[in-house]
Amino acid sequence: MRRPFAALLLSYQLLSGLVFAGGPLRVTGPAATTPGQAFVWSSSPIRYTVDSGPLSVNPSGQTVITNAQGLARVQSLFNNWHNVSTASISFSYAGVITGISAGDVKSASDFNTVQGSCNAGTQSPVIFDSNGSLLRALGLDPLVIGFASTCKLEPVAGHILTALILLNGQFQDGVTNQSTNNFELTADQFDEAITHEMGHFSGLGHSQINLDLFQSGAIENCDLDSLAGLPLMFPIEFCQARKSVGLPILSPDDTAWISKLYPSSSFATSYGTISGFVYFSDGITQMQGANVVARRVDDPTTTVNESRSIAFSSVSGFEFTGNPGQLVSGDNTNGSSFGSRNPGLIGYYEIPVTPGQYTVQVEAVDHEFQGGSSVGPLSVPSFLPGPPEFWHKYESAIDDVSAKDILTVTAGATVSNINFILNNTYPRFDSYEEGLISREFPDQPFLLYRNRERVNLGVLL
Amino acid sequence: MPPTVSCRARFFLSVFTTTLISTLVALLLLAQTTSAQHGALTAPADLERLVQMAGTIVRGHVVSAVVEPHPQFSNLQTVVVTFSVSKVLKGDAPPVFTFRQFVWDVLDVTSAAGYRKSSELLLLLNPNSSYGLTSPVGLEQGRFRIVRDAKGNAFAENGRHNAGLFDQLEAKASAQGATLSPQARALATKPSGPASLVAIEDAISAFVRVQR
Repeated sequence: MRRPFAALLLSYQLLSGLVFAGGPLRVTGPAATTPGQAFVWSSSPIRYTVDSGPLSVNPSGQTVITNAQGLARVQSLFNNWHNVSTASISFSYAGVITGISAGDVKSASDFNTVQGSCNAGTQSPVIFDSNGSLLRALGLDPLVIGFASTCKLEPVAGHILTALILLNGQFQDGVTNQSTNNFELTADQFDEAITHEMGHFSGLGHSQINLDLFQSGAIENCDLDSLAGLPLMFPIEFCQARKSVGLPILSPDDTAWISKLYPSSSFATSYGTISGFVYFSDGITQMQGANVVARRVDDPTTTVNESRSIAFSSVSGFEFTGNPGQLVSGDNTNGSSFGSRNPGLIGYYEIPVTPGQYTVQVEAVDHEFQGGSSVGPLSVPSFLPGPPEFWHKYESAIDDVSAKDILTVTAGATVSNINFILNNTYPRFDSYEEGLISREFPDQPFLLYRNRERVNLGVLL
Repeated sequence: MPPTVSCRARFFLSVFTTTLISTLVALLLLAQTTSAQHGALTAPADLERLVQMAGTIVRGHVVSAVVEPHPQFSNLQTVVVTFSVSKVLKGDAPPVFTFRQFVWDVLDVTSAAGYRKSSELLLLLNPNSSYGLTSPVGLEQGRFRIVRDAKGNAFAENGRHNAGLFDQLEAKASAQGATLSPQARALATKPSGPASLVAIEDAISAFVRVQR
């Protein structure tokens, strides 16, 4: 059998069965009614409880940020997500943390109790570690600004039931003392970090855009256009605070993905979609774990470089499992239960974008973004042998990676079949395969076929 | 129109042989790496700070990583890492060293917080808490993956690409009365990226000597 035909059939199967997409922290697995869906909260408002103690206390024991101020700040930071006009997500204060004395989480024992109630689906607590002592009891250190975790999931419907956030108030105690490892962040930096954690709390995963900024070693000295496009959900916080330079706390990518996961009625009239597959150099085998970035075409009449400041991303195969295993050996038994096992979702990406003109490029996820810092479904990033590669309509394994075609996306429309064939990847078949493999520059755009009829791109090229 | 070339699969294979080998080598290196935990952000610290905060600094290989509840706090998941120690740079550690790290997210439960068997790491660990818990200082910052090139030269890189790790290294060493080796001094010229393991360990040792 000639492989291209098989691949095209497979591709069509995928297109007809595609499911809800997202830049989610995790997606549903085989136990779900619809595998491959983002885990989201089932309804709004999302009710959270809050520590009854102060948010920050200095080493002398004086309260720097009271509980009332801390609560107001938490509510304000949740509103960063709630206020996205194209998203329908809201949060509601449900009182002080329950299950411990007076609702003030002070010790590892208290934390254990609260974690237990979160695991049981009883409450979603926001914990104030006012002086970092709780983190130290848990074996962590004063460099940890905070963390978020999902406590309980409903795997059939794909719902988040409870989650937890911990804030290290020591960063806001007004004291910088290197000898006692007491560090300080500006209010804007601290708020960004906590808003990032609230993104995870809401079900968002990490995004990678303007990676060169991180790889250059820039620290708190990022150019404004690149910072504007840098997602708040980037795995590492390394630039100056967005708010401190007049930027909104959420980047376009953050806004797009929270809207994709929780679409409001205006989402469909505010966003379009770019979708497709990423293939190895054989042009047949879908590749998992490549980062795909859609960048707005720069408008030469403005001083802003829109290709840096307005960008959106997705990871190929984000709906498929990151669990090792395949059809022959089966799943790694003790591995992840998350993600669809439908091989047709391997390599598929979907990016929500605001209407406009875009170029699309594929790149590797940074090799340091693993495990907790991971972007997309894979714990260890995929290796791409070449530099970032733009999409153009004559994609092939031997094309010019800088060649690009511009896509025009309108609200409510999906520009599909934006399929990449990567250059210089290793072959995915053995030397005993039958049939001819063609290494040639195509004279027609690389398209998928439905019953041997070409699928219309639906886009101006 | 560019030239057209058609060929059989075997030819296709030969064309990509070099790429295949280099790719596999790279994948092997990547497979040894580890990272921080899900859902946490940390403030950046330089090497001098990481060394000062660490209670134990060891290099070696992961023998096993098992996720289990904390013995005292059953609602807290932990990963128990058994580490074969090849070098101790700070503190005391037996040849086979075990530590327990709190794991708060379900994704880290399934991945054992990224500790993979046989991974070679340089770990700067916090002092144990009173509940027997520790973690790399600054999470991804205190965990260096070690890779070796074809000549056997070893390089170390943390979860932040070593960004900012060597800022004002000489000045800080000088302020503390630490003497850096020429190799360690050369680190100061690297804004980020993998760095010589020998040089990093030299710098760590220099700081440890004066911080005692």
